[in-house]
Amino acid sequence: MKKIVLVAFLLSLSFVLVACNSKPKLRILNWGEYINDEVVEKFEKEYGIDIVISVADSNELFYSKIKSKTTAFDIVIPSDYMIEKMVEENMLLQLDYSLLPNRSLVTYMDGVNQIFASMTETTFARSGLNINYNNYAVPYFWGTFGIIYNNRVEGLEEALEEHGWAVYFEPNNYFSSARRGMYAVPQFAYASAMMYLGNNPNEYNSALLAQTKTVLQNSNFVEWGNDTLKRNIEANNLDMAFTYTGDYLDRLYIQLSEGKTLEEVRATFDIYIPDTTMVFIDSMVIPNTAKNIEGAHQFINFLLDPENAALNAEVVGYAVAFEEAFDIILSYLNSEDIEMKNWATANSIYYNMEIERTYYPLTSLQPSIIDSISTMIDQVRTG
Amino acid sequence: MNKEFRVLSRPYMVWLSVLVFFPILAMIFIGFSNLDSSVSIGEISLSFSHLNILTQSSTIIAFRNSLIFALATTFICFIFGYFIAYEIKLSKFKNKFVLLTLVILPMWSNLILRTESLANIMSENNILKSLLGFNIFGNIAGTWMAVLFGLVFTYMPFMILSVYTALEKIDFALEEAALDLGLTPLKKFWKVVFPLSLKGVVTGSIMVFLPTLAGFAIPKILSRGQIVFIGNIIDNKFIYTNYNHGALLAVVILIFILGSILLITKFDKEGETLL
Repeated sequence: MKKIVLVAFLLSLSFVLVACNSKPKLRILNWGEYINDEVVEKFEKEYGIDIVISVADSNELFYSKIKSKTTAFDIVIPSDYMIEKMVEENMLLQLDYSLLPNRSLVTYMDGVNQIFASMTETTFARSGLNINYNNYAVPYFWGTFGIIYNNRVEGLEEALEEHGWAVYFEPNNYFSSARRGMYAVPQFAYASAMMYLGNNPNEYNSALLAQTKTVLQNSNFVEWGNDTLKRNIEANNLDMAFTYTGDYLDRLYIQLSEGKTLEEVRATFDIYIPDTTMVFIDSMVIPNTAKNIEGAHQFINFLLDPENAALNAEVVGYAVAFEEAFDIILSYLNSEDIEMKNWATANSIYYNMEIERTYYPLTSLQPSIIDSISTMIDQVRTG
Repeated sequence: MNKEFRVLSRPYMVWLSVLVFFPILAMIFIGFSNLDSSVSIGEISLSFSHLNILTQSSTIIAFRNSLIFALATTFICFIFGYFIAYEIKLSKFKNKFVLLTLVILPMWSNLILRTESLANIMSENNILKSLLGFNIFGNIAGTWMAVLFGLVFTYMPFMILSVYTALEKIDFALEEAALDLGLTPLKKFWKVVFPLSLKGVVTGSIMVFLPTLAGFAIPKILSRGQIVFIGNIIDNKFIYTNYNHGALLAVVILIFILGSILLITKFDKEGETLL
């Protein structure tokens, strides 16, 4: 018995000793599967800092975890609208660009600058504050939304290229028997109908709400889903769905890893990205509860290095925010390694930034407006 | 009871109050106050403005859906479940435990997994179609039939087990006496067996009705998001952090649950059939 106690004591002591090493810590609050472990190791080695990653799966959780102050996170990676909300509520520190020399190494993509400008605009419209979001946030990844479609339906691809949103929203005029699916997030559904109507998806009034309701009702959606949308299109149980481009790439990479060629996969299902579309951007910010502010800057500076940003993108299906990092990815287009080549090709097709598009990030709407939109969507769904 | 033993019940009592009783009070409070993440402690006040959610057409339709499906599911489970239970009771098979195990066999796998698989084989193109060449279910994913089938399939075991428990408790001497006194087997069933098993039917019905009424996963998956139950509305309210409305609707469900429990105690004073 005494031996067991002794062993247990020694074991627990060893845990305590491991936990007590003198290295400084950097606490990151991130989304799941949203960072390359190689990047973490490289940073830890270079700077002698231990990275501790916590994971949450919604922006609202990020918000409440910072607000509750139970853990002092040094870096958080929320999306656009949540950053607007956090800045308005004074939850973030301003970045010290003298500690971020690598900022001069990278050029933000045009779309990223558009998003930051749009965030400034919506914040101003809402609260009258004029905020340059570059002072608070450095982009991590971003991505577009598009219409995944079933390419086994004859002529659908051409119709989408030619008529865009109308094909998806007008079953009376195009492909009346096509099975349409919508993302079951009320604000996404509202925004997509707004873009189809030619409006800014962040605008809201009761007349627009009624218009979008009619549009959504006329679309005869057979599914309101999330991750199920991409799977159903892949399985030929759905023909069109509005969703994240990353959702498509996720399935694409899986099929490629199963040995199919890019052409084969694209012939069964593909994604169309409209000229006016929704985008999201996740950015690194430092909450004002942070303890290791210097380390946080070091980490952001580290990821501003295009090499590291490209390395990080290898395991994440979203778009890098820096032109220089994108060029590194494209350099794998002629790679011998088939996986790297596929990855580069997919990036060049689906995150082709030479096509000029209008990008709208969704803003943080007032709770009462979100509730009106949710109720409208519930009404469309309940018929 | 022994004092020492009574102490052992304490942990569960504490657990009940911390994780069930106080949260219910909090839920009622949140449903009838202005409390949310942006309100500081000093500004909290009672508010009945959230009651407007109850008259919105989407809430009413969702309630109607939940109620209709819950009633239909309960009725179908009663019709089929009763006779399965009766068959098991009559069965000459020595080891009835094996039969009962078969009944609850589907519950050994995870509910979401089972429902997702059902949704899959109810779709137009699915694994069974590629294997067999035809669709067993037709293409009913996304329709009311799919939801009803899924609910009946999931909750049927509760009905069978409750009814079976009640049937097993019927003294065989009573049935013999009924036959002796000249009843036909069918009359014996209606006049003796069925009335005595009614407790089990009520308990089983409530055990089917309640989870169907409050549930949200099965309709969400099998209707492919097209048939909205009240549980789905509550789910969405919490996801989009409208806690007040979510809590208020949950309170309404709670009233239904309390009503059903009153119903149980009326029919089953000893609480036997709940076991």
